Amino acid sequence: MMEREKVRVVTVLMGLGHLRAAYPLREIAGGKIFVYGARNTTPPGEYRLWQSIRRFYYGSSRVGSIPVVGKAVGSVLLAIQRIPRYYPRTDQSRPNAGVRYLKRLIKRRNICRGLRRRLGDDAAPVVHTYFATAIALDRFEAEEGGPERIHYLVICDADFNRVWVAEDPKKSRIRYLAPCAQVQRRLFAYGVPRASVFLTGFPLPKENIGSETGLEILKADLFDRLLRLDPRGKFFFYHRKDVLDRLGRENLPEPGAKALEVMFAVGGAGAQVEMVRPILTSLRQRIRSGEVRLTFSCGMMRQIFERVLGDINRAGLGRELNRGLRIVYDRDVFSYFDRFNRALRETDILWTKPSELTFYCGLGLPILMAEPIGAQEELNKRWLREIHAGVDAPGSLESCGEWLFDLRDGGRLAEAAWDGFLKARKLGTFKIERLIRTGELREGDSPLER
Amino acid sequence: MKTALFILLAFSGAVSVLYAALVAVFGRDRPLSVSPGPGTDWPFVSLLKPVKGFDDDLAGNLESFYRLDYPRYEVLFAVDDRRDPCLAVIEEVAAAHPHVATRIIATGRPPDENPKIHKLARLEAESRGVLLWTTDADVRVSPGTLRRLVSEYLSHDAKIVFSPLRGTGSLSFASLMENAGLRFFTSGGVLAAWLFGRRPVIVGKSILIERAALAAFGGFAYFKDFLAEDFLLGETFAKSGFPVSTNFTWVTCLSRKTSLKRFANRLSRWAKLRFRLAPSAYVLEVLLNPVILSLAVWAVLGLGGWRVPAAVAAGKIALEYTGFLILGQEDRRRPLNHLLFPAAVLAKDLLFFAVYFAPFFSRRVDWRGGRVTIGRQTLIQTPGNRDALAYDGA
Repeated sequence: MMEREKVRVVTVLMGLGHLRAAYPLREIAGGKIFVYGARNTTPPGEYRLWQSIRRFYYGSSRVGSIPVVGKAVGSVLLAIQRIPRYYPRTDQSRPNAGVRYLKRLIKRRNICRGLRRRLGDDAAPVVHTYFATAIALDRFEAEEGGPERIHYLVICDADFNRVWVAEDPKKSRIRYLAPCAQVQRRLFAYGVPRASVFLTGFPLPKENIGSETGLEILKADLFDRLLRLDPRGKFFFYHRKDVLDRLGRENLPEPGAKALEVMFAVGGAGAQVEMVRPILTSLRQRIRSGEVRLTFSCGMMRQIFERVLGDINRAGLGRELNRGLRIVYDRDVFSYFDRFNRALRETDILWTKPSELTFYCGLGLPILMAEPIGAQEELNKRWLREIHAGVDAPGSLESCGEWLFDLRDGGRLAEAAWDGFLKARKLGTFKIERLIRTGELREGDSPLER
Repeated sequence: MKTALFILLAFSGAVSVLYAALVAVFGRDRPLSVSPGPGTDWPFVSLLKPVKGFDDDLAGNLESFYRLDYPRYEVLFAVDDRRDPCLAVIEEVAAAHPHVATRIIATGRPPDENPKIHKLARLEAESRGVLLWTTDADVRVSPGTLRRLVSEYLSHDAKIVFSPLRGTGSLSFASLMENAGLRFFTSGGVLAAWLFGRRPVIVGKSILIERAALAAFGGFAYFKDFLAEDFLLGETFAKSGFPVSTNFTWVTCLSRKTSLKRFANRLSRWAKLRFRLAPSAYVLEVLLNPVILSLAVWAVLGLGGWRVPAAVAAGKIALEYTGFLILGQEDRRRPLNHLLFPAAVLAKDLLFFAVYFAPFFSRRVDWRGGRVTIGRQTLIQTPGNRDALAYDGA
């Protein structure tokens, strides 16, 4: 059995997605998550390189909001990140431009060289949540010798670009952790040997789940949520027995008059910040009357937090702060995740672009899907639709005060919450931990064991 | 070249005239445009005073806060530790005014964050006021100051009410320079930015804040990683849609016997902060110094052009002298200050220029007994807050 503190978890700051995937794995790493590419963890020369990559990333996240040229530039970026069609099944193992570019960064600009030095020579396995660190270390170790280290790479989307896989996956020591079956299929298509692919599920926060076998927290939160999401009983008309059986309840209580809890994820780079104002305007009366409570998750950027706070004040809703309106923000990214996960427990609807938060549907959260950014998010959205956990906005933002409640009253949101809970994998964190410690991965027979 | 220099000089002169006019017009407490009625329920105010060591005439300054014409307030002091020599002064003044609730808290001094904000955050947690009034230890106020500030809060729903500063009390040449700079450059700039751009350029000597609005940011601690917390308070509140306002209630900043070295250090620190807050605006600041521009004109014109700097110097002295007469109540009572004032104005402008270049070469700032390196927006550069990322919370 692997010693607990001998597993390393390495991630990078590139939006919040990769950090969010790493955070639930902190226990296996003895509480230490190593964030590479930050100023205090990276040699100065390499730090500048990471900064320029980050600038490109954040710029591309917001490019759509640039007037006139935004859409055009966005479509060019989309073409660069293109993920090939899966069907008809073909061999997609040939390295693409992204793979070649990463190879150049590793060979010529020594990206992640500082990380290799920081990790030293011990052979402890490393869990990565970003492809560049895994591929670079794997390459350095193959070419220059070094510890027989295993690298695990958590894939953070429901489908992904070839750049996430090593140039020659058959020679690579990287083991890929797939959040869903489509990722598994795609890994095979990219030429990754079957023995290197593990369908674990996305690592979700244990604090929102409970124990692996009992799912106590998840079940309790979901039951309360379903009651709030189905005040007219349309969902329970079809699913009452199934819900009671699976969640271990005897009967349904009388529906209470509780506010609908909506969390709107503004995004780590603030990609959705333009949506805040129209949402506030449309929901203003319902917020004041206590019908809805809106939480904005703003990540760790002060500018985003202040912008959202400004929108709230300018919408005349300043007095609703910490009542009908909440902001989840923290300068420290891990404290932010703590707050975010706590707030999720009270959330009925997660309104977000289909980022890594897509997989949070496994916590029984209906995902109200905002416009995707990038090819991988387009495919995350498709996956959410396939498992019926994602709901498209049926109208404009300006009218969300109308359709949000129609969706709820029709039982569609409760249905999405239930489908996400049943069909998406919930136990990724537990399964990844066990895989690394014991080398075992068991697929359960019931949806509640996945 | 000559023409360009003369245009810049004219611009610089015009700004100086504007500053002097603003100080002259707004230099006295003006009648309140809207005044709360006789039955007003004045909110409870907590006066928060971070203190370290002795400031000039500390006892007199503190005394003024115990003579406020305001019905309900408390005074909270924060010191680094109980050995601070200022403690005896605070206790003596507080003991003389037992009717005003006073508390003194030793907060310690964190290595990685703004020590003033650290103190204010602790005081905020201990205080009871609906409104928090933060003032520095070298500030002195008149009995009506708080009532005027709160009037602005009540009348305009302002979440922050800030004040311009009058420097006074000079007993040394460096203090005379410092006080002149505060009255003219600092307060002139504050007034101009507010009146013509509605930009709150807040100097932290006196700020009245609504507790509930501050709580939206998580309290003072939101600003703990930044050295220019006062400016950022104003900017952040304004950006976040909280009304910021002033009714030109002046507070007095006392500088009696500062040394040339201390004054130069303070100028250098402020220059570095301004540069980090708004680099392009800072670069243009040199245009607000007509004395220096006139020397440049003289250099271009040759020796015979001495009349230009002479005329500019005379004009600048005259402009600043109006501020001296209007705002420098204590200063003007001392005849020697009148005699030294012209030299102090010119020496101050030359010193301003000398330290102007400091931010281009150094990010290090001496402050409250420590040295810190600052980055963008005056972020205090320590391993902990460059990128608050490395998780180590097992």
